[in-house]
Amino acid sequence: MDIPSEHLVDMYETMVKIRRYEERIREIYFEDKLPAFDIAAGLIPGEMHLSAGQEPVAVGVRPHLKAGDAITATHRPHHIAIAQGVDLKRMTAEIFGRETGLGKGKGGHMHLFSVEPNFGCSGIIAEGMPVAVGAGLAFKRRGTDNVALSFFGDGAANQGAFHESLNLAAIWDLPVVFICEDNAYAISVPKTASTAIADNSDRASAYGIPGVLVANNDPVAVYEVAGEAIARARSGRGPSLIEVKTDRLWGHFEGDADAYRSDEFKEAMAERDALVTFGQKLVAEGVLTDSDIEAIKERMFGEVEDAISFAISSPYPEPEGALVDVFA
Amino acid sequence: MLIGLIANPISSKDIRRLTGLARVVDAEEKANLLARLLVGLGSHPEVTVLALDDRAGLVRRAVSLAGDSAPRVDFLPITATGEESDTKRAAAHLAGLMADALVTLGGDGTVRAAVEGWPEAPLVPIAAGTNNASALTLEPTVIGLATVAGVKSQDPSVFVPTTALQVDISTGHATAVIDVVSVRGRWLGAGALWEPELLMEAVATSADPTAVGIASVSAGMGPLAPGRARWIRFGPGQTVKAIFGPGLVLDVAVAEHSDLPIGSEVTLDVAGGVVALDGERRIVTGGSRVRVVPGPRVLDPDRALRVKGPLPLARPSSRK
Amino acid sequence: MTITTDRKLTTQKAIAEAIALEMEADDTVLLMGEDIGVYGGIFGATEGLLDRFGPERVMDTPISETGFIGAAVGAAINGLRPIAELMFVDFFGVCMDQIYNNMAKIHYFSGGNVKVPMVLMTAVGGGYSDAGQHSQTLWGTFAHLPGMKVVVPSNPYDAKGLMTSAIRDDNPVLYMFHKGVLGLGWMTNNPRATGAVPSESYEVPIGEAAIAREGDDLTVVTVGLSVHRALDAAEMLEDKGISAEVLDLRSLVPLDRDKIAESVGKTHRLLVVDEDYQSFGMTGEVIATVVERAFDHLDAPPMRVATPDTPIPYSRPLEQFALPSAERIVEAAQQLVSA
Repeated sequence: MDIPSEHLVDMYETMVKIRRYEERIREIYFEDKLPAFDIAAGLIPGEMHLSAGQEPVAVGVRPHLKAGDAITATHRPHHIAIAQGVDLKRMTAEIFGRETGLGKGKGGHMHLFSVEPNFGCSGIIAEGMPVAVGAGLAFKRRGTDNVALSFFGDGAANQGAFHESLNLAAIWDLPVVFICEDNAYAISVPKTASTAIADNSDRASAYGIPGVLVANNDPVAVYEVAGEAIARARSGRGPSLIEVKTDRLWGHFEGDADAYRSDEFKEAMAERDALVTFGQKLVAEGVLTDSDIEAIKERMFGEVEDAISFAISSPYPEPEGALVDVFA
Repeated sequence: MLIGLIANPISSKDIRRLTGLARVVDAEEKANLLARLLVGLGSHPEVTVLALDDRAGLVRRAVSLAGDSAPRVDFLPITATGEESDTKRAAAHLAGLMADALVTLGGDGTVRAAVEGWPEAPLVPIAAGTNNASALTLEPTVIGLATVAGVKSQDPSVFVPTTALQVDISTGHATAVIDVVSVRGRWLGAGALWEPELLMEAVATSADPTAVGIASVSAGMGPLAPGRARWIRFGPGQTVKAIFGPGLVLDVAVAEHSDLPIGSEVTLDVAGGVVALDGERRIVTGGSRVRVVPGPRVLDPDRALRVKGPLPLARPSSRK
Repeated sequence: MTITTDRKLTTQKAIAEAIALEMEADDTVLLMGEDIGVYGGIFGATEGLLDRFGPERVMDTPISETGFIGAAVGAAINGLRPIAELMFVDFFGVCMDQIYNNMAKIHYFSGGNVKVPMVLMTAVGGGYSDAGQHSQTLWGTFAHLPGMKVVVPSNPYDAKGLMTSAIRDDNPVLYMFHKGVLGLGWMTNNPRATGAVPSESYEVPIGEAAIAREGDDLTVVTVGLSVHRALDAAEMLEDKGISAEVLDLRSLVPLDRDKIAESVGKTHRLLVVDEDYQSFGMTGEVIATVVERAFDHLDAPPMRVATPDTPIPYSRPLEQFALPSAERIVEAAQQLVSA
């Protein structure tokens, strides 16, 4: 498949935006919490799970999406939400707990919900997988050609909901693409210690659906495989599973000493940082020039700052607001 | 007797699982195939296997499955990264040790990488990939036995010479054992070739009508003499019905073709800059020179098992 | 209230009728669960629906509660109005995350932007020796957790009306139907399980309790099959000169605290009857409500009759001892009025 350069450039730009976003969130997260780390303090209280390094999985999917496609994601959602086009200002305001946030401050970073685009995420491992199955069911019953994408990690593949979801999507023949971001660790537990087989993509055959392994963290490889899987689902040919070996560059959560991963492991990840290698490849192939890259950075960094400024300048919700929106 | 072993944990898991009816060989199945191979190799007490310790632990699992029937298995001092270069490095290392045979488990890509590391390897390629044009599809226990019998016999005809292709690409030379194809479109992506309308030219080392892929197209032009390769230019002309991939039968249009002896060279038109080596795309700059060269010597299990010799398990030759 | 029809249905048939009418009127309503199609539901609550609406709208699921209840959540977010059946409420252990953490919270987390208009229907209750894992009621557990409405009909009329309201509600509604009020031919006969049910569609509002029987001397607050027990007890008490008012809560979330306080304001004595486990549940909640709102109206400390804090036993004499009976209600009421 020959990939239009607009897609390649868009994917790269989005990767730049995601990385800058995660870096800025990280900076702000720590600002008011140190010197003695108080998790409840600062502009972004609570837990924070950042996706630096996992950009390729999110952006590789992006060009194939259409309006109405549903995505469910995990406690590490930012890259996917950004790639899908969730309103960055409202998303950031939500992370900052403001009234103008996607959930008026009631959800926070692990519970970001957007109606358009159709995005939701969850703090419970594998919880979003059956929901994606349900979205696929709704699309099929309503006769739209939308698809549902279910993002989850290598840890989730051992949770019951993973198995139930794949089986249901298969037996009901639903337009769902299951995407496993294998970053080799579930918090501190390596996949070799948790999973009886080497590749979760092999589990697909247990449910009678195709499973494909993308063996490296390459946005173009993800683009091709996701394109095929999404087209398959959209045309009524059923669900599939994609497993991408990706890199979680930072700890599981911000504040994680990450002592359970060796320095060699972390250095190897840094050396193959897809954001760097993809940019280099685009320049080498003449798709972008160095000054294009600078211009992209400026624009993307600007969008990130705008979102952050919007959040910081937004009001906090009234405390009594905690009592509303339980029921419609 | 030193037998090298390289198993590829990522063969047959690529995008072709979505696009066609490709063979699905999961890790358990591969470990099982390897275990049966080890049982075959373990049929002779002198055998030591020196294996790449693959990223998925396939060989370790196979050793555990084969139990007491396995021969001694040692591991190469190579840390597997999960990349194709593991295979090439391991093969080169085994070449340095002059191993008596090199067994690979994977598809055509695995064979290609092994041959790049050891061009004249006495090769025993076991099929476990999406495309297995070059690999053996017999029961691995038999292949193991045949390997031992073949090496023990010291009969060179047991390892059959083949043709390979040496290709200039931007990172230097690369080897292909099945075919080199120039392809429209620059982006490598999933690395697998599956759309016939992208083809421009090809050089194939085989015209075996039982093969799948470009060899199947080549077969449509008639038989190919040993020690020769075939150049093809795609385009309006003759239409060949070819088995393009597993479960994929297509009409392919061939404009021109000619046969090339070992030592000859042809330059492929690579407009847009991608060649596929045994089905996997690589970016090149400019045109691409392809040289027809001697390839690996591949085990003929049937011949190996019929040879005369002291091995009690070998069967007497019925040939005159 | 007066129901102007002679037409009589069992509670089981009333529920199925409610679902059928809504499925007829709104093609986004979809039903899924184990054995709800071909079998018509283990307790008959979905009888006849597969034949009428076909397998695309009436889906027999694999035994995957997390999977299909989560799928109902996803479908509800994306334009359908699903009804999922959890065969026995006792099975909630395998899928509770999807119920209380997902279904119940998405509306809130999204600041009201995302609605989850689904019904989770489930069979509850004991008294027929189905033992400790198939006899529970558990509404206290669900009512305790924010984000889902909880309704417990006691009779055919309310069963149909509450199901209709539940389906039309844009919120997640847990519809808990007690097996003993269904009027099933294969359970002990229960005359209160059959009653007048209009054939057309109607709603019973969620969040409103109903006076099942008026009285002056004490208020008996309860739900589900215990309403029948309370009504039986009230008849027995009448012979003893005690006039018991029976308040059928019908909904636990929202809880009609006003009506509870109003009734106690009239009778000055409170007896709460609950088939769920005694501690940390419905009885405590109702008593706390009355203490908060109507303390000065109480002439005696409130009392409760509930299933004790033990698993529900199998053997008939054991189970009958544990579950609230009319006799226990009578005894408690007598104690209460003489206090």
